This record gives sequence, structure tokens and C-alpha cells, in this order.
Amino acid sequence: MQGGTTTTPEAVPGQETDLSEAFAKGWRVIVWNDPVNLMSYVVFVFMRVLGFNETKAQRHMLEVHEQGKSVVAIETREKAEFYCHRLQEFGLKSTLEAAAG
Amino acid sequence: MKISRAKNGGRQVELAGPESALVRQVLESLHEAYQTAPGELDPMVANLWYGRAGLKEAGIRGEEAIHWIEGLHEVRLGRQAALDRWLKSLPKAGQAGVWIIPEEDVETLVAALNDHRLRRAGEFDLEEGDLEVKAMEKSRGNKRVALVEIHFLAWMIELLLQE
Repeated sequence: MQGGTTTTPEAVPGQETDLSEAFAKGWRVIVWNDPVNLMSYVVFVFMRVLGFNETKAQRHMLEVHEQGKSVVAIETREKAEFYCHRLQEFGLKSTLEAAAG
Repeated sequence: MKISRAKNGGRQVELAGPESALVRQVLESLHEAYQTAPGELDPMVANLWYGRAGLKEAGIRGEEAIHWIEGLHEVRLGRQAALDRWLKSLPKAGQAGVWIIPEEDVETLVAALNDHRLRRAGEFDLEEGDLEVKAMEKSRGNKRVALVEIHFLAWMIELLLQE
């Protein structure tokens, strides 16, 4: 081990909160309704990207269609970003939102 | 058009002459559109393929937002190799024939065809009512062409997903 001075990182106000936010499953992935994507296509994308079975994918697709949106995942920040990006790669309208509380 | 499962697990797409011409036209125009930088696309199309909605609210700003959009563009650029393969294997322009899609390409093909539907809808700012078959019958000119493509590709996607 190399010698030398070690520096203990000083606590930065707010940093702890940021880290706990990043690792907590506090981020919602929302898919919004749009007039173009086919229902069957949305089900297919939910199964491929989110690993839903067909029943769950159908339920969320209908929620999007009938209520205008569906929360398809509540995840850590990193995973929520991954899912949101993947859904957009398939042309679905998706956003991220911090879960309240 | 008839789509069935190929022996190797892919899809066997039987196309009539006009159908293969339409698919070729779609793939060629997608090839060009995928190469176009997000900022140079028709703004309505860019909004559907590379939309920024919700990024700011999620704290994705500046460089991070640029990186996000670049990532979406890279995925579409990555589909170009598949488009090249499909254009080679598609029946010659306007000729009827059988088009084989390997199993590993089916997901990408469905996503690409859907992208074309989104793009055409964006170009004409189409809404739910415009996408009804009755509206297509009443439409004229380029809008009618776009609607024919959108409905044809919907049928194709449905068949690809059913198999």
C-alpha cells in the first residue's frame, strides 16, 4: 500500500439525500397515450423492454389507452432512466417522475 | 400480404408486386431519415423520435439531455445495417415474391416499421380521428399516401406480431 496522507471526504450538505434518492426505488416510469402506436405493438414493447407477461402488458396498455397514462415501473433512478430510454427507442412516449413521499 | 413463421423461426413474408414496392420505398426513406441528425429532422418527426418532453422535469438538462437524445439517435443509426440487409433480400422493385426475415431481425423490423408510422403521422400532424379508415378515404394527395402507408404498416406489424 502506498503511503501518504489520507483525506476523509467531508460531508457535503445535500449529498446524502441525493445518494439515497438515487438508490431508492423512488422513480416512476410513465408511458403516455398517443394516437399512432398500435395496442398490440405497445403490448409487445412492454413484454420486451419491461419483461412483463402478456396479461400484465395488456393491463398496462389498456391503462395507457383508457386513462392516458400508466406507471409501468417504480425503480432506482438508474434503472428508471434505462427503462424510459428503452421505451423511447421503440417510439413510446415515456417520462420519468420522482415518486412522492 | 401473407406472413407465416419460417422454418428457421424467422418470418416468411409473401408480398404482391405493389406491396414489395411500398415496403422498399418505406425502408429506403427510413434509411435516409435515420441518418438525419435529430436537429435537422422535421420538428414534428423529431418530437416523436427524439422528444425532449419530461427530460427537464426529471432533471435531465444540458449535456445530459444531449447525451439522452444522441443515445436515441445511435439506436436508430444502428438499425441501418438491418435496413441494408432487408433491402438486399426484399423482392426486386415492384416484383411479387417471398421475403425472409431472420428471427433476430423481427424485433428491429417491427420497431423500424413503427418508426415510419410515427414519422408519417408527424409529418402531417395526424391525430386520432385522422387515423380512422373513413378519414383515409376522404383524404387527398400526400396526406392520403401517408395514411395508406400508416395503415398498410399497421397490418404488417399486426401480422408479424401474431406469428
